[in-house]
Amino acid sequence: VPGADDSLILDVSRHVVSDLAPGELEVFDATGDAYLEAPAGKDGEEMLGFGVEAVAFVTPFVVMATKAVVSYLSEVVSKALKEESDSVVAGYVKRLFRRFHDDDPEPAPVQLSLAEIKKAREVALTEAKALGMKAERANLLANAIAGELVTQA
Amino acid sequence: VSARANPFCGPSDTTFRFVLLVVAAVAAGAFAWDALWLASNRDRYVSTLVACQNRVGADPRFDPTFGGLQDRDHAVQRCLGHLSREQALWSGLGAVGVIIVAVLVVAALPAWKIRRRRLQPVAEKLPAVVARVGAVAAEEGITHSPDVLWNRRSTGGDALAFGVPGHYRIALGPALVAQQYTDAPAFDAVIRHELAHIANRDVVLTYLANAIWYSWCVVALVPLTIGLAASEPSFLYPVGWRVAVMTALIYLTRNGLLRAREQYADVRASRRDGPDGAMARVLDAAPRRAVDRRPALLRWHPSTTERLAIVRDPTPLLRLGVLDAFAAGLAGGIAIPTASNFVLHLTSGGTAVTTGTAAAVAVVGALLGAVFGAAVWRAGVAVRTSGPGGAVPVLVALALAAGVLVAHPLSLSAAAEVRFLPTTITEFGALAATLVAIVAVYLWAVDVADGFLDVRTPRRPLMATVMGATALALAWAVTLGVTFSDYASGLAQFTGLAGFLGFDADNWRSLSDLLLYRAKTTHLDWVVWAAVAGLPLAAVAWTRRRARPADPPPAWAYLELPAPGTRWRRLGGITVQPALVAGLVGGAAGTVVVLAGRLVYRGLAGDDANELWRRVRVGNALFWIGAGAVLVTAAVVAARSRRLPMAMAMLAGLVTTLVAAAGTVAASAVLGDHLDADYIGDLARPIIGLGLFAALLGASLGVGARAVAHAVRPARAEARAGPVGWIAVAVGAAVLLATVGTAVALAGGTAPVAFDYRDFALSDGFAIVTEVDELKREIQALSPVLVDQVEPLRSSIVPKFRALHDRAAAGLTQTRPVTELRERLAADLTTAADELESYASAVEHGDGPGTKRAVDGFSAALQRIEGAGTELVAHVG
Repeated sequence: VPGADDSLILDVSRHVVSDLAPGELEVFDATGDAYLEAPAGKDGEEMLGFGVEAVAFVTPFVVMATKAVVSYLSEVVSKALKEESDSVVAGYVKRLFRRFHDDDPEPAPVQLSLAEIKKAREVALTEAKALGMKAERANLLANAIAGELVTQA
Repeated sequence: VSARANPFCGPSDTTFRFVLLVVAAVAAGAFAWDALWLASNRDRYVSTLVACQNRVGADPRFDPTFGGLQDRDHAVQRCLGHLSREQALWSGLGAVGVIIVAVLVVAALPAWKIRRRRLQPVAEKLPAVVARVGAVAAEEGITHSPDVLWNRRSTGGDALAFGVPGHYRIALGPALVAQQYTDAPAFDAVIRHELAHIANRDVVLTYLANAIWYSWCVVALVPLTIGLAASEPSFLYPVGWRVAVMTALIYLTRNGLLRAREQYADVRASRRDGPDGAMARVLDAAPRRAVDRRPALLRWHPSTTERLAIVRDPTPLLRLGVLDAFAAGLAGGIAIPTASNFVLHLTSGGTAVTTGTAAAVAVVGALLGAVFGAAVWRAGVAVRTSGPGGAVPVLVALALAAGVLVAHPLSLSAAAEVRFLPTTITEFGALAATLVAIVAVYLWAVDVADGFLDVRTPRRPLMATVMGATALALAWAVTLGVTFSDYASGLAQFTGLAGFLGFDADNWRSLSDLLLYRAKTTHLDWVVWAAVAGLPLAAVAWTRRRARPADPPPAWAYLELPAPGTRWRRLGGITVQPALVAGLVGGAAGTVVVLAGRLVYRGLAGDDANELWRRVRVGNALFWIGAGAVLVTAAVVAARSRRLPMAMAMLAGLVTTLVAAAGTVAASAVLGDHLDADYIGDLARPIIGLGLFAALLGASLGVGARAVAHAVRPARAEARAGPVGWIAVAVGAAVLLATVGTAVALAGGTAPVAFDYRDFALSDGFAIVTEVDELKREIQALSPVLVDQVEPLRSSIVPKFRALHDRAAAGLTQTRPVTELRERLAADLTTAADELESYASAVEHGDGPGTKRAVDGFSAALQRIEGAGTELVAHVG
């Protein structure tokens, strides 16, 4: 992801995992970074394995969904920055002449609209489902990631 | 809650199926490469074989009769020499190749698996998980904890044990690792399951089984397919479908092994917290979408429903199923002729040619016998812990025999001959006798296990006794079967007989030959019979000294300690007296029948030497009737015995036979026969040999009848008959048998003329005619000076003609046409000798007309002798 910050993805993912499956935090610390690359999958059907798989493991889904959301947000910010770049540049130049415009407010940070937050949730949901997560759990995961976008520190 | 049966009380199904797989794969590998060799060397082989057969056939040192068949076969094998050994080498290469490649795959597999799945030690990131696995391993008694590996990038949650003894590994999916923190008991249950594979020692067996399947495909299937594609189409079909059956057997046995190992691991993993503990919970919570929709036989894992049921009650693991028995019969049926042929070809030209094949067959039989011994032991434990259930023993035994029967046309020799089933009644009889022996051995092994389970401890020696006894018994049965089969196929070369169902005299004669051959060639019947009757009874005697019914059951038979007061289930007391009484009654009835037969023999058959066959037939019928008495007695006893039916029936049959044999000898003495050791031996040995088989058949039928009766009307089947009922049934059946047997022996039917021609031609007729030809050439080579002919005629040629007359006159014939031929031949030989004598006298006295008369008379006699030779050839071929 161009410009994406791996540590940001892991930080957000850790928050989400602590909400959804706090028991996995120790495994998250051991494996989370591994899922920043494409996961290796389930190794196919194991003929000689136990034959019944553990049913709930959210860490790889959280990391991958968060990664997709961060990617989406990067696009949103890039686009917003591009559209507002002229006025923002003029504003910053104007602010350089402090004695004329010392009381002008700083340019506002990029704000996400409700539609964009919904879109980010949709991205997380789609990614989780594409990775094979059940719809119910994928919804929980998508909600948790979207919550990170609206929750104050 | 009652304690669960312990499926670890003996070698498991995993081992059972692994042995079957190895036997099947080795035999199939040998078959495939044997066929491959034949496909590319067929013409060379056939031409060499024909040349060898012709060379041996023309060699006068070999007896051309049936009696010389074995020597001639060995001579042909010696003649084939290097070709046979080359064939054996290919066959051995196929067998060994499949196994060696599989072993190499298993040796290389751990490193390959680690590399392919990018497995790394879990300890680098989560040492706590490794510590937990070590703790669980210690709880399970595994001293060397396996390495714990994972692929951090995997999303899976499965677990997998692999590696080799001394260095096992467990690969865990990250999802499972996470479960240690979210659901530790479930994590422990899965780890216990994987550790159970290590404790069950099935890891290497499983990977070997898997590798054998792939090895079979690569080492045997691919080369054979290429070889067959390049060979004649006529070879493709008969070999192709046989290989397809073997492939299916190997594949399905491999799958069966994979399923069995999972169930055993589940049960072992559940021992710590019981049938409703964490293992059951893990299986119960398994996602239902993961249900495998393939047919059960094709699956690698049992369904979670089946696994859950087995964790709650492992008893089904202890019972031998019909499919396993059928597969075992099939594997054995394929392996035995393959092993026999391999050793025959390998030892071609050596002295081990006879003993080697028998030893190979015995080894395969013993191996399968040991496996079945373990199976009946386990099934016996299931009956004691959980009561009767599963397939009844007689059904399992029939499935085993059915497997052998189905395997019969799978051999390469059958493929070459395009013969699926026996074509003569003797071959049919040999196959039937083999199947009866196999069924009987299995049912007997069930009794042996039942008897020794009563003793309870020590477990290992008791189980080893059952396995050893079954191994020996099955080795005996299959070796006997191969001997019978060799004899019958040899006999088939001499005679093509009519259908099985006709009561043609020649058919009767053929079966009598089989029995007489059996009686003359075995000295083991007493030993076998004594062991068959004695071993289960020895266990009973041992039990009476060591254990009381009220004693607690042995702890080794349960996974959990059985509740106080739990009884070691017994299916009823064991009483020997009814079997002894039935044996005495059956023997007495048999004696009466034999005595009556002897009187019939004297009174009705008469002394007409030209119809000797009728007396022979009555004589043979006496053996059959005696065998019938044993069969009926054994069947009745087996059907009426709740405990140890086979052992009781064999005991009753033994008593019947002893009484009947003693009665027959006594009757012979009363009727004026001269008794000496040889006479008694000739009389008693067929009775004992035939009686043993009759008892085995009767006992098997009795057990089968009891099973059917139990299925139809359980309450009535359990009712006990009194001794009077037993005696009435035995006597009634013996009288019926006597009547039917004597009637069949005497009534109608055609004389065994074809056999008589064959016997006389092969024993004396052909030899006499050939010798006369030689003498004719000697006469033609005499000096042209007449007086010089006199001395060689008188000193050599005339005595030779007279000796030939004596041989012809002493020849054994049974029917009128052959007897008349023999008498004509003898008379013509005398005439020839007389005319030559007259010729010599006429020459000495210068009597020209006398000389001419003698020459004419001699020529006429010679023509008649040649005519007799032509007649013999016309009847024998």
